[in-house]
Amino acid sequence: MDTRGGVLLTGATGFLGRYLLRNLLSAGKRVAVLVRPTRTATCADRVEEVLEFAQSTVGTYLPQPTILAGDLRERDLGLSHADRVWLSRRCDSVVHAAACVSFRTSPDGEPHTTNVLATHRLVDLCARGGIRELHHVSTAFVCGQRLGPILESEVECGQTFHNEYEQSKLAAELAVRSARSIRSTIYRPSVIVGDSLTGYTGSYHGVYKFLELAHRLAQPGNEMGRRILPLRLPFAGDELRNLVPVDWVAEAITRIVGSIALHGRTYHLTNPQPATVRDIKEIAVEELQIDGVELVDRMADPNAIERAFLQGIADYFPYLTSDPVFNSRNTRTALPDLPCPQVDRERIRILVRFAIRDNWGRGKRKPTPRSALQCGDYLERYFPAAVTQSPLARIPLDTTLGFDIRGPGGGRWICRLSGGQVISVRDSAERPDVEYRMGVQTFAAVVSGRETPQTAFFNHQIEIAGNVEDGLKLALLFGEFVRDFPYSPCSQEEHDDATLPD
Amino acid sequence: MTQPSRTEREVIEEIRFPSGQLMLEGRLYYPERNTIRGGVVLVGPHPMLGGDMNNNVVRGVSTWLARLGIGTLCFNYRGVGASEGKPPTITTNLAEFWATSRIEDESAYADDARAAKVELQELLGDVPHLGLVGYSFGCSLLPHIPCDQACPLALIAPTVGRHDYAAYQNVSNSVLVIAPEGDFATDSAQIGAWFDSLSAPKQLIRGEWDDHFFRGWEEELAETVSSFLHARWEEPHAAN
Repeated sequence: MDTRGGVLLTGATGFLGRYLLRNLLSAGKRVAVLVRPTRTATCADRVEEVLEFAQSTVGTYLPQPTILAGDLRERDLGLSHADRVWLSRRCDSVVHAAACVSFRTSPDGEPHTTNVLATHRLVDLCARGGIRELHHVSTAFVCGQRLGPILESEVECGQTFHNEYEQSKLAAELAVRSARSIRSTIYRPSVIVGDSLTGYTGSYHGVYKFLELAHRLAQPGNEMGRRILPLRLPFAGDELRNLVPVDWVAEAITRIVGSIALHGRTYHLTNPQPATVRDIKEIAVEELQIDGVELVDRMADPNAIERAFLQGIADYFPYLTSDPVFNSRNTRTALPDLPCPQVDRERIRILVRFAIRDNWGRGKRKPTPRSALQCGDYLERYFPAAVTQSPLARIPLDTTLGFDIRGPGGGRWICRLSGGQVISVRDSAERPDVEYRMGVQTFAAVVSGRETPQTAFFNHQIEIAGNVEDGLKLALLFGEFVRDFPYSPCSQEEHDDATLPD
Repeated sequence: MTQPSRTEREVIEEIRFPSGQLMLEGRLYYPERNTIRGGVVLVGPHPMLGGDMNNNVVRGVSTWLARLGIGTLCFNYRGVGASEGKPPTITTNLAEFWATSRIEDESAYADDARAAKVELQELLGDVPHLGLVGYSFGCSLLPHIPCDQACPLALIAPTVGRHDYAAYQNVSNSVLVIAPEGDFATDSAQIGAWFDSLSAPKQLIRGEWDDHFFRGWEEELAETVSSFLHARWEEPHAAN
């Protein structure tokens, strides 16, 4: 970094943090990361692992972030004098994503130490170093036990809290908000779950805890492949869970960080269409192949398994009712083209499948969540078949399109559109009329309908070579097509079962 | 050139306003703290080529103009986003649009631009100065918006040769033309010839700004437009 303009990211090795690092670097930001060594890995090792993750998911080389060895819990964040000087000269903003998600107070003072004390120290460091912009990742649950609708403008409303975690996050927010020389932007995600496309997660808290416990407690059943778990859960089924995919949260924050016009506000990163407990339960038991789980309004005389289960989820007792209703007007206004993906039954299935494959975080990590999207499957199989069922089949287009998609699962394809048919060829040397160039991540976002091709182009995520005008017109057409025929990626072994919409 | 205020922020209000029988959605951008020096309507690109309020130029220029003290109203044409009206049917209109870059009933978009100007005046009340800013296709609509002599027109990447720019021959307001090199939507010679034919006080700025799209140049673009508007507004007898 040779001038100011850099971003200091805390929590880069965490679940949300690694997505933030990836997106900030992809957006061209110069990033410094505050990292502490662990007993088994140096700072450099930890950052290398995260960077590998980031590069494998975007499919392109990303610049190395500057590593600042430190510890948020220490005075001056554990930074050396030289590092502090460097920071004040090269960074003008901080994205503070580090947090402790423990609900209970531990002997070492967590979650207060990391969430409150460290935030005070960070604010102090910013003020002394002339860093004027602080982006603070809070939580929507600073509302405590209020039922809502919860407004983004609301902070202290005399609320009481479910646990120490919520209280500590509110105290952290207040520390950030009260800093005089700093403009603070507050992000309040609800419950962050895995990647909306692949299910990848690095954190098995919250709803995952329920599922994992069910998985562990289930016993072999009489039917081959099925298991049994005589478990009543104290839910009516209609309770709402506000789940937000990690990739969306990271993208929303990155977009706002990148637009000064949007700074200085509070953003609820919440889902306007929460999932129901019933949907989560039904998909979970299907995927876990468990029989015997029931939802009951009231639970009397729990059996031994039920007692074990309830003990395992004791931290979540306060959350057995619906999550509050969150108003997210600021977010919707700031990011009208980036709606939160609905965590519907199919997306829940993706999340559960990943968790099972990952053995709830105990499996061998393969940090390539996006590589599950095989672009070839889309372009060679799905796209040609879907086009014949779409209005595109009636349009007399005669053109060749190139797709140069960088990253795992990517490659180069030439698609010839003629007479309502598509013939796709991999790696042809033919020069197409229009060629779209993008990373796997953008391709995945476009074909799943999360982003329109034109928007991706205007956001600099897609480049068009050849006839730009035709490229834009085709992008519009393709966007319409995707709206009717969104693609849900699946892993290689699932391809045989993947079907087109009716 | 007016320097952007690094500390100023813009306020964005979501609005709705009538255009004939239809209600259109729009956004009004204005400075949070500073006085509004003037107001402009920003008329956006063609709905079939990125023409909505979320276009990078529309958002970026609106944001920065607001910070520079200029209240800016942008809007979605009829049938776009949450604006009422029949959306352009892409698959039906594609053949025509592919060949001509035009679709049916485009003249109605000029009605929307006129309605936006009326709304801007309503919203900003006694603001001393007004201006019109067009981007891409939107430039072709500016001469069809009634405004008085003191109202400057800023044209960003006008689509000369693709849409009808004949009405500019009757325009006597000050005109700024920002013409990117390598613009797919027009060609350099055509822009030059058309610009030479204008009888109005005029200024042409050429440069390399990412073809027609200004991706990453939005702030500089707004500064250029703002400088032009402020200069015209500061001329004697410039009050609208």
